[in-house]
Amino acid sequence: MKNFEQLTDDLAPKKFGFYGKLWVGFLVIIILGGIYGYYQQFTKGLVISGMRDYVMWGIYISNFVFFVAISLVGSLITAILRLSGVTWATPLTRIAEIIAVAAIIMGGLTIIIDMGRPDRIYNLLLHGRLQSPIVWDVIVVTTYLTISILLLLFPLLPDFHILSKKFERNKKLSKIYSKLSLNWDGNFYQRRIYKWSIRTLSVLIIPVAFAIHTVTSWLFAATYRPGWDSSNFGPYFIAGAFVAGAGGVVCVMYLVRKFRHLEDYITDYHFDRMGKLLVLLILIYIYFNVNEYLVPALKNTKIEAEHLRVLFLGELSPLFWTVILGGLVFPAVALLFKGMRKPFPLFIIGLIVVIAAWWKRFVIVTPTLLHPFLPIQGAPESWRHYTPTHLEWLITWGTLAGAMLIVTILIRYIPVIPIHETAEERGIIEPRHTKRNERK
Amino acid sequence: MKENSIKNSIKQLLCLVFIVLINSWSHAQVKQEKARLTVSYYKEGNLSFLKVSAIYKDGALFVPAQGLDLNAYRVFENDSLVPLGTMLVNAEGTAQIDVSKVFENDSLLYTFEVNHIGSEKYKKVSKDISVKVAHLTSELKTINENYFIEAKLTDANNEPIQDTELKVKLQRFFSPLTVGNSLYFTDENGTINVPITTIMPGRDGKLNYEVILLDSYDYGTIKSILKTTIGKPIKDDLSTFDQRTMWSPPRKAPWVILIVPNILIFGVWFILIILVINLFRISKHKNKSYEKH
Repeated sequence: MKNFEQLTDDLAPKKFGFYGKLWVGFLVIIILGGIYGYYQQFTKGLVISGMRDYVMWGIYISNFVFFVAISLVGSLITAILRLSGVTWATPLTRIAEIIAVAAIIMGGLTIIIDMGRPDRIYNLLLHGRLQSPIVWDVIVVTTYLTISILLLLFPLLPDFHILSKKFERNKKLSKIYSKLSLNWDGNFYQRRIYKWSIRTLSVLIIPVAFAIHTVTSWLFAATYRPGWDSSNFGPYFIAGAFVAGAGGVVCVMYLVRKFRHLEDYITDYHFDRMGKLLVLLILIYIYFNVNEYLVPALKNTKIEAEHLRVLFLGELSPLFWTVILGGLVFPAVALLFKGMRKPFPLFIIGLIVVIAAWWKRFVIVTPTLLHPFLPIQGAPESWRHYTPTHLEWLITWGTLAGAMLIVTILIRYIPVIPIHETAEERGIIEPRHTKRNERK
Repeated sequence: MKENSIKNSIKQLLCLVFIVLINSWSHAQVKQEKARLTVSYYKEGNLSFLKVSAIYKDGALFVPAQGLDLNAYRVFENDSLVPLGTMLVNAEGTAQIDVSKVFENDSLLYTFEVNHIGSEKYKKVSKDISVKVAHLTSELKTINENYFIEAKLTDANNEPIQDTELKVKLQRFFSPLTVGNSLYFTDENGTINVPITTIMPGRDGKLNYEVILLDSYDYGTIKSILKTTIGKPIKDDLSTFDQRTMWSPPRKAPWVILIVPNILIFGVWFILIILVINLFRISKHKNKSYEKH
């Protein structure tokens, strides 16, 4: 069994090697491209996008829904599994929290991008109506971001303390970690506040996480539009969000394990468990998908029939079936086999699930807008279709790269697996829950 | 050794991608389109406009020449041009310019030119139009409790214009309704008399009629608006004005929408503030237990 020093050595942040630096450089280039795209949008307006009168929500909103979805993984792994007494997920909690924070930051930013100009937030604050789900969304995104940051920060306090001791030779780094640890020394009073805070956050994040994605779904479901007018939308979005988030965790945990050599901490057992969890989540999501498409197909109103025709047989059918069959059915079937729950196959499946999850949001958002109730008349032909422009893609890639850069930077500077919690669970250090223990 | 060769390969690949991207962007060519202009003259009350429609052929379809910048001039008999201003064609392919001031000194015939001097996207193009000055007036008359609309069309010298088609319409929310026949011809006095046989409902009894000379070769389009209060007043029982509804302004939100979300928001944020305070409490409690014991 490893001692505390070995454990700290393994889990403490490490400098990037060549591939790490190359990865950061690659992300920075894409982000710079995104900034250039946004500069064009800022100076010329939303006309640089492919959005027009009919499709006024394009890949920006698809991207926003994707970010909100993937951020829900923080509540799934950290809160739901923690409160359920699932201990195997401990090495994955920090990864989930990091993904949640990165995704929700970029989700909020994406909404501002979709507004065209950032100063329009002022108008939203000034004239926003509490009757509108859009205002609820702004409130709940801000709240969820705060909770996610706190849920990342609180469990880090003991780890920052450990790191400040470990990096004593590097005075600057040690001082930074010491400051970040907020004078943590693990005494009884600190631990009492710490435990209460984490438990409260774990409970609080669940309703807020459900609220954030339910409210996001209401942006669509509160309309009478075909494809959106559904009372199923809240749970449908949440089920999909857990799938996307779990897929994201699988991808990050594989890469972290491979490049940080953490095979002793993120084991095949964790991949097997995550694979099984992913199957369960995908099956629930498929069930909601069946509801979502079967009921309108049975009712077959004219407008719904046209919407479904475009998805099932029309111009969007290749994308729709790729997402459903390739991104949901195939992973669910493949993961039933033990061999596919090994790290590398699961990583590939996680990647497929995440990419399909992004396109699933596109399939939800855009086709509906191409079928307004009033016929499209007197509009240029190009307005009848939606094709994102190069600048729109550049901005969107920029936000995705931004989220990945936040994840990368956090992995670089904070322990990606909780050191203190892992040491306690492995019995390497004694938990000090009581005043008596502390005096010993 | 092996790592260096991988590094070099990656560097070479990145350079290649960069060169291909730069090359493809620099070779992008913009094709110059030939815009087709239609210029018409429109007058309503004392305001006069030149209205321009601009399209170009994109494959088999004509599409609006959006972004086409146009200059408007008044053309004098000696072919000298006086600039009136500039216009920019909108997404619908139209643009207009106010030329009311040109008509302050009434003369019989006015000629205008609209042109585009050529740009990266569009070729050079120009179009002119000549219009004679005419005045169209309308008034409501009552004879034996029956309403009539009397409209008069005169030229720049106040001489009546005979045998000219006029239309009479009633303005409604979506599109105007025709009143009486579809066309009326002016008599030797330049007038028409149109009986109003059906009194339509209007908010507070307000009904606005319009008499129109449409697309005349000599005079363009002239419209006279006649505002009346002869309609049947609408009693609006369905109005939710000033009530608390989901579609009201923020200050008139339903109480339940104001109370329930605010309780939830303040409840959650109260806990969050306590949690932030907890961070300070943790910071303050350093070694406190040791000091006590």
